[in-house]
Amino acid sequence: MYQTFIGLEVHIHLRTQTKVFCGCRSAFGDTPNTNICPVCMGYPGVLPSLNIEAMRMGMMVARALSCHIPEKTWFERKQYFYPDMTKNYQISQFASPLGQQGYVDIEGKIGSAIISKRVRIRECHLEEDAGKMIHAGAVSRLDYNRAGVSLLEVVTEPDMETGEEAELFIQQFRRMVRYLGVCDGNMEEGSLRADANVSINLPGEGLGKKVEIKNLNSSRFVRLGLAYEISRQGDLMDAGKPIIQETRLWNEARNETLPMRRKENAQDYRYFPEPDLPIFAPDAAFLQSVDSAMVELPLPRIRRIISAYGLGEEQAGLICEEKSLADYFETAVSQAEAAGLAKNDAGIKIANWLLQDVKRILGKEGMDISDIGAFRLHPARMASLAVMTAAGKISGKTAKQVLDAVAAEDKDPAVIVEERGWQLLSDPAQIACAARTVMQTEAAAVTEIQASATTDKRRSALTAYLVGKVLAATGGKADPKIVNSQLEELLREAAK
Amino acid sequence: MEIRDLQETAALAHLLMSEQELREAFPAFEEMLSFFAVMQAADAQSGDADGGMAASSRVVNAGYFRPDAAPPAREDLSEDMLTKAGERDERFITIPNVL
Amino acid sequence: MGYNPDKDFVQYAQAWEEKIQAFIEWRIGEELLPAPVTAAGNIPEEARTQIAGLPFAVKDNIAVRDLPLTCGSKLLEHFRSPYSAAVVRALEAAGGFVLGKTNLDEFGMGSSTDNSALKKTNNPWGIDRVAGGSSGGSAAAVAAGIVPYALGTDTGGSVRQPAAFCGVVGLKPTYGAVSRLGLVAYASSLESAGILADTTERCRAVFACIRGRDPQDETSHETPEAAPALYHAETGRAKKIGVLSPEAIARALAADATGSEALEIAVQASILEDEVRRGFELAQERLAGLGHTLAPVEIPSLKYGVPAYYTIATAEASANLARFDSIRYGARPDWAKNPEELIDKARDAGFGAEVKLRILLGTFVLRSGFQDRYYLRAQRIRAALRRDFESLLGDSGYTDTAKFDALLMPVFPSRAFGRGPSSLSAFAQKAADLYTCCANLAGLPALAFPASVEGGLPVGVQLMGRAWAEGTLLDIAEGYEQAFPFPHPEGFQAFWRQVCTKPL
Repeated sequence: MYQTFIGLEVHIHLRTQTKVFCGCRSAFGDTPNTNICPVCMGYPGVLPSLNIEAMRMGMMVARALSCHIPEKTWFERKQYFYPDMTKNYQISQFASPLGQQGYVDIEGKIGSAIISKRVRIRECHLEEDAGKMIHAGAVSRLDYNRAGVSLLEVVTEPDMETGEEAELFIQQFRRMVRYLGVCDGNMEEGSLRADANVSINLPGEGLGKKVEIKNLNSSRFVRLGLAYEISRQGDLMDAGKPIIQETRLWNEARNETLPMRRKENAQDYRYFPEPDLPIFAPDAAFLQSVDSAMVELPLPRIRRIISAYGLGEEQAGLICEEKSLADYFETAVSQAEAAGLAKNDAGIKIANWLLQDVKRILGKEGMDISDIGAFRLHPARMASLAVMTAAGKISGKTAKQVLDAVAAEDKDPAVIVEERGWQLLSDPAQIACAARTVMQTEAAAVTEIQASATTDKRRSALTAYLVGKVLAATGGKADPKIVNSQLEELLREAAK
Repeated sequence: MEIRDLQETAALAHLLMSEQELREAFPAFEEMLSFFAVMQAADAQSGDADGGMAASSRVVNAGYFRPDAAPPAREDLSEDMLTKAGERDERFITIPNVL
Repeated sequence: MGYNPDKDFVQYAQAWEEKIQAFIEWRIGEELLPAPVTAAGNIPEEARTQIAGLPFAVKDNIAVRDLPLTCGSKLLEHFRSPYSAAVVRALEAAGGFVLGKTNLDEFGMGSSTDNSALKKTNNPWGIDRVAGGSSGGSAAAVAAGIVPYALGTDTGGSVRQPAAFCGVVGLKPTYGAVSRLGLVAYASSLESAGILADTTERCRAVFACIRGRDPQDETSHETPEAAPALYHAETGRAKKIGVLSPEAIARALAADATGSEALEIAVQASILEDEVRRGFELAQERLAGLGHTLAPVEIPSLKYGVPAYYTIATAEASANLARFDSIRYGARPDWAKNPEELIDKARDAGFGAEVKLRILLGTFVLRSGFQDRYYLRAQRIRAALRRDFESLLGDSGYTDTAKFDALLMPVFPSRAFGRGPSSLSAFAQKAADLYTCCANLAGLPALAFPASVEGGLPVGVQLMGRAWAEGTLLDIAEGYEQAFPFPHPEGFQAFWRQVCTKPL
């Protein structure tokens, strides 16, 4: 009934070693007030000095969002008082941010909602973060470790229409910045934060009264907060009541948004160009350094992996969830290919193992799938496993056991198979011999198989039973395919 | 220009000023603003020809800025700075609670 | 070789300080061991000998580690800096010693030093007179011979005007020539560390030591290759000097002043005191006599200089002074029920009236709805003023030929004024900045030096130069000094010219 307009303001901590305007260490979780200096503490007489790496990372994000990078970009003072602001102005950007007017395509599923949408990016700009204030009874405690940490703010146009779209945007934005290596995307630690704004209106009437929602600490809360707010605004509109343009806080305990007490709306930031920093005109060499630091982004990579390796959409999406996993996958497959295995064959095997077994193994070790690059199960080992399985040296079931063993003992798959004697028995003569023995001990089954009254279904079941017996007789080492074909042949012969 | 403008301005600047103080400061404030008004005669061009860029700032390239590395042999002034704060609680600086 | 204060000197200095009260805090009588001389060899030898082993004073808005950084304010009355300014470190590395911190108008805002919340400084030429501002303490200490030179800051004339009032040399370098790291910011795009000195030779040496790009100040940079050398053989070459006519300026101001009381006051404030006019004319005669060519020049935008200056300066100041909320440092009120009240009370008690006025003005001219009318307009005037100067002096990139080597103008319409109801009002003092503030708006170097003594008080004149051409200005002043030695107040003794220091 109503049109919904949702925009997001996403802040990310850039993974620079030092803060954006001083040489202090930029890190999360250190002892309070240890990563501070007169500059980030706003002492009398200090001056900011721009960390060029923060600018480079910011422009990488701008590129990834197809933003225009202006000829000249500069900083501005955004003025307001707050105890966590050491200068009571924030060095930010305003008139000419480092990235302007881009877009990003989001594609995927949230719950049952299938989403494919282009979201326009208004701008991205570089700024400094404030310190942290923790309330403790009668006092508030200030920790300035975070003051001055490099922050990139990305502002979208209000192109999203549902909480699901906003949630997907955040998930995919997070994935993208992790791919670029510019941010770890940890919402719990606050290295990725999002504020949402939403308005509703009768169709065709344009944007409505915008409400901003803060304190959305996860992508899920973004969806829930927006859903609540859209519903609240819808109810007001239905009842003919006005919607107040304001900032509200998401309350996760009560599952609702509540108006903020602090009068944020009466802010006049009085922006003016930062006189302590020169204007930056990125030259060709610098832009080249931005471009060479770029990586293949998730969506294009997913599409390429689907077409290059024949994986399904869902599998490809899972493989590309983390860049380190996708890199691992492609390295392992190319190594398997080099050893003679067909690309698609290797791809499917390796993808399956990664998404099931390796994920499980890493989970047990307390590691995240993104840590795979550092894991003992290097791509070369994965490749050799794929080659062995394809060549019939081991069964698919054995392969999974080999994976566990390689992870546990840090040995090559070939060594594990050798030590455990897990090679498949593939000599047809030996298998035939074992099959004959089984046919003799299981004569009753053989007879029933050959009886014409036996149904096909019953016949298959009995054959499988015999295959199982042969496998058992060979200690599980016989290649089941060959067991099958040998048995079939022997049964045919016996029937004559 | 009214006293109310001055009052709003004082609030933005976090300058606590009583009615009395505002009334006393108002003449000097008004005097300066009427002095500033002479700039109207100088207005050679209208609009922001330079797109909001500061006329006095230099334009530089990347090599001018700071590389991302912790400076060697940096002195840790954190304890000294914590001592200079009006109130502290071990490693935190404290103020009366916001709420 | 350390600073080993002679007993005679200590007595001399204490007697003077009793009268002039130039220092907020000093270390007179302490034997100071020399800092290890670490300066690289890029300071010429003749400069080093002017600095090594000698004391200097530092204005109390420039950081010296473990010494006060009061900025003349109650808010920072008990604050001591944990680090030193780049300019201080440069001089210490060349063998200089910080003798003490000098008094100033609060946060650099004023033209008398009487705006200090902590004490009053008196002019060595007459203790009933102000020393000028805002670097009055530094100027007075040099004029009294307590130190051979001192550091100040010049935002709109705050080094040159007290230099003129006290009869010493005052240099405001090209914007960006000297690092601002450690200068408590008043107006970031306008100010520079400056030098108050006993001789032009000393001034040149100190400048050679402190100039240069500082990676921690990204508005600073090295002198371009094309700029004239600071030390060279041809200092005596005759120069082409453009002369501003104060009468023409007063007329231009009056033309705009119809109907506005404030502008009437401004016009009156711009008119030169008779003694200053005599000194200015005498300087012209003498310079012509030394072989320089003088010609009249006009700067059309100059009459808008003061309003543009105060608009930009107060705007930047309102942001620069926002950090003073007493949370991380500075005087905290005894009690506050919440942070809002804490900040309000701290600033109310900590800032003087002039500082509050300028913060209010600066906040106002940046407010949404007013920026166009005030701040943006002032920036445009600034750009026009810079173009006017460059058309006479040449551009800062040295791509064109200059018409003039320097411009000559007064420093301030009056000599050191007295105190009391008849002295210059706060507004008139601001309007009188018209000769000094344009060098700050244009970012150009300007040098004040004593031209003569009239009616018992020194009269200074000012040379403005092309960007990075401090050497040219010093050459002209040095020639003048050699022919017409700089005057000193009664009781002055030149201790520091007798100290002969060998290179360390």
